Amino acid sequence: MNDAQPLLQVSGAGHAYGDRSASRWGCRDVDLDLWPGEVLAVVGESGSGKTTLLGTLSQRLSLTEGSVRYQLADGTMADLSELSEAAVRRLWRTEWGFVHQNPADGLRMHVSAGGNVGEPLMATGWRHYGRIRAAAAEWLQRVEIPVDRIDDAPVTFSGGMRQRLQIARNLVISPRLVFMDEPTSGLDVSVQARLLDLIRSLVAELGLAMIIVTHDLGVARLISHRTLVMKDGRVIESGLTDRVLDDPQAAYTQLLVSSILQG
Amino acid sequence: MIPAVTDACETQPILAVSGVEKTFTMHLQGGQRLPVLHELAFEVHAGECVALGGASGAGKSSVLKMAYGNYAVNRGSIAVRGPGGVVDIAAAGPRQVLAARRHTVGYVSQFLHCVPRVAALQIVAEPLLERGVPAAEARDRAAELLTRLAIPERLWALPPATFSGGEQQRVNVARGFVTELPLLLLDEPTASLDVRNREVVTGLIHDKRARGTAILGIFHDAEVREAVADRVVQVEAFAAATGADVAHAAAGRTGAAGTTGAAA
Repeated sequence: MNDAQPLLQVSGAGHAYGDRSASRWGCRDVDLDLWPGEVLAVVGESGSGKTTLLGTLSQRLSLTEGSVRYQLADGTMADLSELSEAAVRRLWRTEWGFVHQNPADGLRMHVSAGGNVGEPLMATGWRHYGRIRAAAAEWLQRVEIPVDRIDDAPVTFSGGMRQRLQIARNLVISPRLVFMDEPTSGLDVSVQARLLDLIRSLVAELGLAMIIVTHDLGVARLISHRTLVMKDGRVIESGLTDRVLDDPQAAYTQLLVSSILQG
Repeated sequence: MIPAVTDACETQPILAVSGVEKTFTMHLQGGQRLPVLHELAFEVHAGECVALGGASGAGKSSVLKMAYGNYAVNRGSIAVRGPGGVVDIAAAGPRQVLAARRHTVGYVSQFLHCVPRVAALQIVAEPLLERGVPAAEARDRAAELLTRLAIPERLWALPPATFSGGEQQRVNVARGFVTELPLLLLDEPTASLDVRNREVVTGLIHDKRARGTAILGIFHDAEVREAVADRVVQVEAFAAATGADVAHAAAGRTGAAGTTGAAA
């Protein structure tokens, strides 16, 4: 890994929904650099294009225009649109994670907790049952799930536990880059605080880079270094998180900040 | 971690503010412009403690926040000298500001921003751990400061959310003082402390100065100010034409008001 260049380099990125004749831009003209170990929050109201941006950067949605370049493990920058499908699948198995808002979208709900955490390891070539189970147990502990629940399926878990399990399933492979889409928003406030604190400490400990989409400025403040504010599919303000939140420049960001603090 | 203060750089300021202008533009109030500071200029040298003076609303906190990169600067420069050279905080990008905070500029805010579930000792040790100090040493130094600031040992393992205001502030001071950075910004570090603890903080400030730290602070308490400050920079002397009070009040209330100009 080369820390002197960004892990992800995005320029002029956009995604349009629909066919060419009747297309609507979900997001457009997005420029950003994400550096190793850096946490970037993307904030905005629903419909602002933040989830579309996340989908576009993570290759779940097509890139209609612009470019997304990624620093491969050997330090070279690759244009993601030029990588083969197999190469992209390999990145998902070994270097990337995606934490969905709804844990059911990222977990296998009827497979045991241990199986959910062990499966990504098996996909990267782990074969020894005892070692996989031991690693899964260790990760359950790290995300504060009692190890005696290792054989229970997440369908029997609470919402907070499911989300922590999804995080374990994503982090067990020691990814370099993790995408998170509103990971705390479906949870009770008390559960949210615990989960955020857990995410914060794991990210710092593992030194991974993360892009997190959230409508909650409190989430951005607690875990991100930099924040990008989106409106109508465009980035309208970006910078150091505390600068954006404490001294917002754009009218829309001022509205967002004042609404949240009053609410 | 302690920066070497050589003769050569003693003549150079650690903090040099020049031509700084700050105006809040409140888009939610029809784009009303509220100028706060105009042509602000002063320097702070190694081992020197400078107090910001002026009435409430003059923009004292805004000066600290601009120096920390927390508020945007409309014009002028805020040069801080660290181990890696001089950085203009007014013009620096986010990564440069973060690097300056890591190596050069420390800030003790008025209130402790509590992180849920993290123990007091850990909160104080964290800035050292983040800078690569071994865990045992970080804990020892944190414990030493908490002891000096009279936080009873039985509280160390607890998150400070339930502590009294004075205890929280002392944890906050400990966190801010545990690192050895060339420049330390202090926003009312003694505001909710009793006499005994005010004296402890005064002592900590003296120790920092003796080790060559440049300090810029707001000290409401006149006794503390006289005890620690070499001189006072009157912020009112740099007041912009109108509306400073309103701007500051508004900024303080909403956590922000915003300014015109670049960024974005």
